Amino acid sequence: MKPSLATRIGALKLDNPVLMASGTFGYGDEITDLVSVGKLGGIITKTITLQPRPGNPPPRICEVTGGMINAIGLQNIGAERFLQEKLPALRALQVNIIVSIAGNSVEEYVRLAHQLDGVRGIAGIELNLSCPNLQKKIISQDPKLVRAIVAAVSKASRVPVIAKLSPQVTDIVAMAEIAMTAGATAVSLINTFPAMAIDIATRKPKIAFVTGGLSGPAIKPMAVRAVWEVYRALKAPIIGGGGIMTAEDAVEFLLAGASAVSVGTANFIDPGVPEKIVSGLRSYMERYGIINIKELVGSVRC
Amino acid sequence: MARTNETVTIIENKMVGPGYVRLVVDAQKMARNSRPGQFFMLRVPGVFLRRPFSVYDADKGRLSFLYKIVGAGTEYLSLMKPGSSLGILGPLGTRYEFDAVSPGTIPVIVAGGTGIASLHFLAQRISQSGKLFYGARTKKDLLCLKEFRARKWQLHLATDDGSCGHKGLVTDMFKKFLAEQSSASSPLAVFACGPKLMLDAVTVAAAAHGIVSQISLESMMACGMGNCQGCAVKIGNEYKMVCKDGPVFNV
Repeated sequence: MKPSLATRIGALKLDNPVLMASGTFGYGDEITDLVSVGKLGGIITKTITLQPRPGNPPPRICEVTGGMINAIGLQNIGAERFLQEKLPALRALQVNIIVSIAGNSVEEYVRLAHQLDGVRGIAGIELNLSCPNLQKKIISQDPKLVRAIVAAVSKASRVPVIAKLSPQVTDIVAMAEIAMTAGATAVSLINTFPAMAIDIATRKPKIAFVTGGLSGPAIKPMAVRAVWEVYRALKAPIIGGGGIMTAEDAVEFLLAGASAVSVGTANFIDPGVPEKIVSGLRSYMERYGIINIKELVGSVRC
Repeated sequence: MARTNETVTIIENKMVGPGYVRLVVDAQKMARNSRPGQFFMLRVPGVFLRRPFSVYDADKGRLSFLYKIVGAGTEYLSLMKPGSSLGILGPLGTRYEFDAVSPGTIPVIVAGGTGIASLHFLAQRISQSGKLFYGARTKKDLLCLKEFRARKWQLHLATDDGSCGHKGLVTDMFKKFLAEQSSASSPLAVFACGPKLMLDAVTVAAAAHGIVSQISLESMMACGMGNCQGCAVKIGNEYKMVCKDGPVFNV
């Protein structure tokens, strides 16, 4: 029997669990010449804010062992232009589009949710509660703010709402529980780890913003652990990600408890990776006689 | 867009100067699609992110790059042997616009260091000969002069140590040349690639003579396709991406 890779995040049905992580696939239409996007589970757009944001001064990225640090600063064209200029092209792609949003206040998140609500072609909303590259502190480190934003947006939105959390908290399970009880459909675990690198010749930080977010294989074991802790405690729907480069990495996240996975930094290195992960997942299931990918979710033996 | 993501075979990866390496790969389609100023992202084993390299030449199904060993990425790349496979993505980015260089116009190239690579490709594709202003550390760091001479370009060379040509900045020679132009002189088309300070001097000097320069910028990049937004550069009042809006900018 052909294995079924179909999965779901609440009401959102996915042909396969492979999603493109926010900020690593542009608005979604940039590299359609290099990727068969129809073969992907879905695309989570670059984070959109109410007003356009210019982003941080360069240098914005640097390479470190097993990954990279970035501090882009949510550069984006703003919600209005996104809806006018980008969404029509995204609709034509015939793939699930989850729009990532961020705001400076509960009110801004709600206004964004209203603006996106009912717009054809938007399958879900991911709340970026965890960008480490803004002046203020990370939202998902503040339980009250997480509860308020998730509750308000869930109320304002008819599509699934996913809360993307920062790993930089004392208790990721507590944060996930707050997001879920406030009405989130799922949690996305995890965003980048706050990090820093220094050029020892110039004694300057390698990133102009000084600190940034660490992504790539270096963070994968910590991400797997976060997924497992949250799944074990809450059995909540989880989008797992952090350093996924191969199908084997994706399987680990599924075994830890993720219902879907997000591929991020790997997209920068090879836009062919997501499709390889989809076919690699199929091969893995065939090899181990798994009929339905849902059988894998949380099935780690410990 | 004619870019592709392929695994190609290395034909040559040879030292052509102290620390300078010419890499040639077999890539029919990519060679055909490449235009001067464009670049490729090369997947170098041993480092995490791909590395951007501008095209040095593209001819007869072969794609060439010229690079200097400056860090771990270029060092690992230099160790790769002919016959081995290399993941490459491209061609990417904007190109030097030279189709509009009318017959009476004189192409002027200002190059600093390895900035010569993309400009060499440009000179290969411009039918008329022009003037090359080229600065490097020493005589040994001046590359591919033979090719420019063969195409009858007039060379104005500068070195930091005076071992060849003018001792000092190549931009001094370029400025002097501009100052000697009169209203009766032929119009100029200026192309430049090199260190940031050199490019600043070139664009300021050219602008003072009412000339728009086409300059190619370098940046650290993660994806090369505009997705990571890591290679931002401030042009005017907004951030542009070197990989997608550039690397060649009109200034």
